[in-house]
Amino acid sequence: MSKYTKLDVKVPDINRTYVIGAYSYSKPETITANKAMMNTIYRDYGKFINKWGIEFELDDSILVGFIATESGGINAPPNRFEATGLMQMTPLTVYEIISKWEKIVGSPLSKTALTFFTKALPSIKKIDANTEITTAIKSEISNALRSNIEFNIAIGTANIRWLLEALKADDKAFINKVMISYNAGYYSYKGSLRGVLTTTQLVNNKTFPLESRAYLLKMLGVNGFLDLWFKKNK
Amino acid sequence: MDKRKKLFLAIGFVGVAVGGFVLVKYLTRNVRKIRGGTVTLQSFDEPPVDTPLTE
Repeated sequence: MSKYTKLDVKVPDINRTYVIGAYSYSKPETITANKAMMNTIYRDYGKFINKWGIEFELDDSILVGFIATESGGINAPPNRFEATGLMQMTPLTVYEIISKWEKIVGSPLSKTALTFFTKALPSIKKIDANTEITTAIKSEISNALRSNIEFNIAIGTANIRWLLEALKADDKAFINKVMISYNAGYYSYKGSLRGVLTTTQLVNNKTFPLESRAYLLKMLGVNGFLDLWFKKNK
Repeated sequence: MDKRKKLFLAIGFVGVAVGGFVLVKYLTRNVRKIRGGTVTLQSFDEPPVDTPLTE
């Protein structure tokens, strides 16, 4: 039996394609390049994607789509917002989801996840929802995100599950709201993400950052990552 | 109940079961089970909007 909220996704979920200038996700060369990128991500990291997808009940297609959108499959060093690696996770987000896992998700982290996270972050016991992140813990998380690819994927997957549970409505989970939140931050927009919202409503809502609205088109638009994945696996 | 009636009844039950199965398969032809839920594959009659997003 599933321990998490069920997720139903429509693909594509909006009749619009991602375009910026002359670059379009519907151009044949972009489709070819994006398919190749997803294949490379799955070839190189499929083992971790599958393992942590099973743990947090998320499909490989969704995880590959997030990695493709976040980093293009490049294990990048921290940027100016400290977003790091394949899933562009920040130390603060890691601290937040671990410290508030049970409160938001409604059940404790599994033994498998806790054992793995403890190995990657020996100071995990000091992570507490009522305490601010210390420089030492931040540094430890930052190092793990940068040097441990499996941890980056595992914690990014945990973040998607955390957000699905945090933003659920009518006992259903919504991946479109998670995309906005993953990109723009949970606390900045949780008030605007209450209830059931269509992808078209989210894309047209200019109170969300342009990058977050573009995120929806890259993932859920026509010839977006999920559309390409399921066309390939039809 | 005579044998003939029993046979018709059995055929009726099988027919309903097969018909139901075929109907469910047809209605869910675009639905794929994925880990954690489902994906419904959609298509649109109109070509997609391909204008850039604006602030």
